[in-house]
Amino acid sequence: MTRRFFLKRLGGALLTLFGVAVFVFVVLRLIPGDEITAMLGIESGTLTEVQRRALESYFGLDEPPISQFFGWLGNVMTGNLGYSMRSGVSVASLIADALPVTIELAVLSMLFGIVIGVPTGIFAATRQGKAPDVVAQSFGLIGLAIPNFVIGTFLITITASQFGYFPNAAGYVPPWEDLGLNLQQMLFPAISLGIVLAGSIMRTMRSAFLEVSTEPFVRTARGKGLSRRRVKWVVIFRNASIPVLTITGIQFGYLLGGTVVIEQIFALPGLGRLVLTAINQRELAVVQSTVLVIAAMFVIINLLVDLLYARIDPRIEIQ
Amino acid sequence: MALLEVQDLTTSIVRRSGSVPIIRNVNLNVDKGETLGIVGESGSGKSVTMLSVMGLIPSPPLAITDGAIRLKGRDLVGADEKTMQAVRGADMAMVYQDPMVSLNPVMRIGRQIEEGMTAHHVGKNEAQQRTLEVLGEVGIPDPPRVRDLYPHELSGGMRQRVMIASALALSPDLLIFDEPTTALDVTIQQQILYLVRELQRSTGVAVVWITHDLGVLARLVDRVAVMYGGRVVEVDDIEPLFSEPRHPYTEALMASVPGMHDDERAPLRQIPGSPPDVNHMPPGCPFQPRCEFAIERCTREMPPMLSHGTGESACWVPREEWK
Ligand SMILES: Nc1ncnc2c1ncn2[C@@H]1O[C@H](COP(=O)(O)OP(=O)(O)O)[C@@H](O)[C@H]1O
Ligand code: SF4
Ligand SMILES: [Mg+2]
Repeated sequence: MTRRFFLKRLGGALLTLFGVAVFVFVVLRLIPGDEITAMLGIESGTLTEVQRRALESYFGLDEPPISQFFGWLGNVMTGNLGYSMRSGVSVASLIADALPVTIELAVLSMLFGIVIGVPTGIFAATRQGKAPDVVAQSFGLIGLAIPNFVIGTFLITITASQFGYFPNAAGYVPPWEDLGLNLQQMLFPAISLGIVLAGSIMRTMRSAFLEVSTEPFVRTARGKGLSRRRVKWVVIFRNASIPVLTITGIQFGYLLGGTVVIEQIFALPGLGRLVLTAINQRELAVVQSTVLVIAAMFVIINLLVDLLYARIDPRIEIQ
Repeated sequence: MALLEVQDLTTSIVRRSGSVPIIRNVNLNVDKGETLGIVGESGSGKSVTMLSVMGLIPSPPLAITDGAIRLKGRDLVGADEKTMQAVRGADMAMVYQDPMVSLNPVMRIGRQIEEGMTAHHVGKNEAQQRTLEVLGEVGIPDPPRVRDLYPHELSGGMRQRVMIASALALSPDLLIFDEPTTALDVTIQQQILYLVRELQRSTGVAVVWITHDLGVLARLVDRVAVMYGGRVVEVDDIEPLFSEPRHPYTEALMASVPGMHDDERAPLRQIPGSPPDVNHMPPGCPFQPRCEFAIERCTREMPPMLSHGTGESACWVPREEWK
């Protein structure tokens, strides 16, 4: 892999993050309601003009938006993500608590999607048009069509109300405290998010596998006397995994978005929940920096996908 | 015993609604060290014939529905996949039409040649050694460097040389070339042609060379099979075929190639009409709708292959009566 390729992708990633920063900053200032009102509630109505200004000045809200923006960005670069107005806790420590939850959820969902999607896609492709293919494809379509919160709610309803099983009720337990309980708490959320992923990975895997199978270079491989197994895994699968990788990278963005809702449903204290709570409380500093961190996760994953891409597909480099 | 014997080979598109033959009763023989040309317009069944021999027809929908294929006396039509794997690459190897898409894009050139050998139980070191050797034999400069390149880093001509090198790796008895130069420009065509002729001379490998260009064959092959509408309509040694074709289609093909006609001043003539569609074969001779010598019988009955001197042809009207 060339260094130029890597630097180019890195530059693109930073540009994306900057765009996200601008966007979040602007949007947050467009929603009605300000931090001081949100913090003080009804009492904010009793503030005199002077008191309010003093507070604004204390929190830096009286500065022009441009300098607020660059002040924030500058702080973020030095590792200072700001402070929650309400609790005075640093955003960095809020994120440090929430990030592992979301990462674990995302990784497990991803694993679920890949572990289910890749083998069933190949299985369906090698039985094209036959019953297993039709069944697998239908399930893939269903998986794609049902919104994740419906699946999540459905799973909770069945297990909690019918079987009295709801591991999340006890409150979130990190894996290093009780791995068994933690995985039980993560299972349903990961399935809810992973099903859609499994559906799209399965469909992409299937069609890519079928398409690559008809490529002339597959015939060349067979013509050399390679075993069916080697043709399937070394020739077809390796080539067909390229579009699957693309779709997985794209779906990761969806996955991060999905965690917001799923964390809410399953009471998981992840980034999504942090943002949602912060938005309700107009904790602009928390929202801004957390969204930026989520965007950074997305960008990092895409960077990894690109690098993986270049490893699998030697043609990437020359573009 | 011939090296390759193809007897009454019929390969069809098999569908639930029934099967449609795309090549019919094809007979071919290739002796050890012999060079056979297969010529015919696009769609006449040349590729399907030789892919059937290699066991590489896309199946489904295609399947061999009749006939026998024997390589060194071993029947390949009923052979299981294991047998075919042992034969492919080792006893016969094929070079395909489009080198741009015939190499695995994500694997280095060297690995692609080596994997053919290791599939036939050649040791890794030996395979690597042999790879450099064959890359040199096909005229690739600096084999140790090219071995580590990916296909997209090579030109079409170089890729076709790589394909040939790969085919040579296990020194098969039979090399099949399916229009290997069609996708390449003219100077490269000449070089590849020259290369194959040299290889043929130095190794004594038997060659089947598929082409739609009769002109190419003069400098390359001993014998020619002319295919039309999925059938072999004429087979003969190269000289008698060129000087006295016994089938009107061969004659017409020659008239359409520059510098091949008896009468150099005669203008080039394209064959009027178009080749038959496998789904709508005429009941009698497949060439009848386009044949200027057709008689009434041609519309009803398929002419059988009849011997004459060195060759055979399938036409109701002898050459002497063409007018
Ligand atoms: N996979 C396939 N499915 C259906 N028809 C095919 C297939 N492959 C080849 N054919 C048909 O078989 C005929 C002969 O094809 P081919 O052997 O490729 O011709 P040639 O190599 O002489 O140009 C053509 O009419 C083509 O349409
Ligand atoms: S059999 Fe009849 S139609 Fe066919 S090539 Fe001979 S003369 Fe022409
Ligand atoms: Mg062809």
